[in-house]
Amino acid sequence: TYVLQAENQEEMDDWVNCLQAAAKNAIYADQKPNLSSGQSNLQASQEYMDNEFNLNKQLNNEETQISKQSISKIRELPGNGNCVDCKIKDPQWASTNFGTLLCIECSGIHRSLGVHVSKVKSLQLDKWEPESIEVMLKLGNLKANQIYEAKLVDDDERLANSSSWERADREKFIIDKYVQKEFIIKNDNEDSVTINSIFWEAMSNCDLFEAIKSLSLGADVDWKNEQENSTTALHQAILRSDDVAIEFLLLWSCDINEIDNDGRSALHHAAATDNARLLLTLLKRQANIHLKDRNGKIPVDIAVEKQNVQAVTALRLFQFERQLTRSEFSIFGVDEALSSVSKPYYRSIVKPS
Amino acid sequence: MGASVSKALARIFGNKEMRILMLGLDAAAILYKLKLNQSVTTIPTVGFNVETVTYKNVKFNVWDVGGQDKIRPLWRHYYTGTQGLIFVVDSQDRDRIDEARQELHRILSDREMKDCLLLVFANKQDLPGAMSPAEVTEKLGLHRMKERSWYVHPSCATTGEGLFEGLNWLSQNAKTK
Repeated sequence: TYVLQAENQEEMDDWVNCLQAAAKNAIYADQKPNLSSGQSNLQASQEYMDNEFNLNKQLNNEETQISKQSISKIRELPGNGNCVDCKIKDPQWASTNFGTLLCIECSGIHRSLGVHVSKVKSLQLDKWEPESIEVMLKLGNLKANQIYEAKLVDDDERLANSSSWERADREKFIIDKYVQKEFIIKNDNEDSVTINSIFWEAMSNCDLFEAIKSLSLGADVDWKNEQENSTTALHQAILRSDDVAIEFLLLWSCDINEIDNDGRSALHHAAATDNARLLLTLLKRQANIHLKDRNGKIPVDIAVEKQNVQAVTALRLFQFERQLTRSEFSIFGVDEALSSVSKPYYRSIVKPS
Repeated sequence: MGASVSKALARIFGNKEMRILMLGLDAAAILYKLKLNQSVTTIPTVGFNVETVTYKNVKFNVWDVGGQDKIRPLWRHYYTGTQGLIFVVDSQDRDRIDEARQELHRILSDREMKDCLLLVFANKQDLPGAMSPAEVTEKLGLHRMKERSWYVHPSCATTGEGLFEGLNWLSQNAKTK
């Protein structure tokens, strides 16, 4: 620890600016494009920075490598070279539910709208779980704008001088685009049941583009398909063990405790499949472990009945720990287990082209 | 009479200075609302911001440090000398409240932070579905913290509601040197 003293306000401001600039450089150091000349030198200083700031120590090297590759895959998607809203180059932030990339200025406005509209994450300063990367890879700026800017033509006046927008202009555009949905194309012939069933079907195929399109038209993320035992898209995703669809639905704030005709929630269905990873994903998002189905069974009863050892263990440990500790440190490592849920699973391994 | 009371108070509390560390989502928006009394939609903090805010004769040196996952290990470099921690919670983000709880307990378990006050802003109260301060208290597991003085206050960075009440609590509970 260092104590820095300055003689006066001015000097202090100078130092603060200087330190801020240095910190920013250090933080962004590993995303700078590799220069072919003098590379070894650059790498050496990067390694030094990493050690200095302890950033990558706890991260498994291999995993970092894979997620770095996936992140660069995201950057390469059509449209992702520019901010989805103001079109400025080289965006470093993401809206995880829209699957888009945006600049830091626009990300600030997205954040201020609340997580029910947009969920913002930094591409390189936040950790990315494989499922969220997968969601990003299925979407992208071009696709999102085919929906949310459908009415805007090239060189549309709404986008004039967008790269030099003041904050107020930026805010107005983003609210018009995502909250008022002024630029989407609506089809008046479609009633809500049609839109909802299109959404449900799209999710069954994990077609996230269609899904967002119907959501933009007002589809209900928790809609129950009466022809399918009143299951929601989430129930179906659990039955298929489709991690990407599950992640997408959770990003769109689906009701995790919604029940079907048998009174079964997503957690009931997950308990029946003996997939501990799915269970932990749901538990992490506060799925209700005490919910009774129509036969009065809670999820762990179903797991016991089916002799699903992993599911029983996961549910019991979770319940026991929450009862015991209420909210402090983890005794059985459930917290650790929860945060490492996705570790063994890494689907989005990027093949070298 | 009111004037003489406030003068007396000024004599007691005068020239107090507090080092405050502010962590959590949208801390920057709170910092600039306090400092400039302007509603600013801020961009996420990368690195840190530091400002001095004077309120009721107390000079608050407020440090706002960026909170993305990978830069959280840097937080501990700011702990030394911190008298009050302001932990800003996005009351609307139910998915991440558990993560916030873990982070908070991790910070407070640091030796450097053992005597500091804890003020939690249950922020974004203006948004639909926001958790109440009571719910935030419960979800953060604060009731189990017997040794520390803590306080949860609802806030809204855009309107500034609740911010000065929070500072008030900090100044009243600070140990005078």
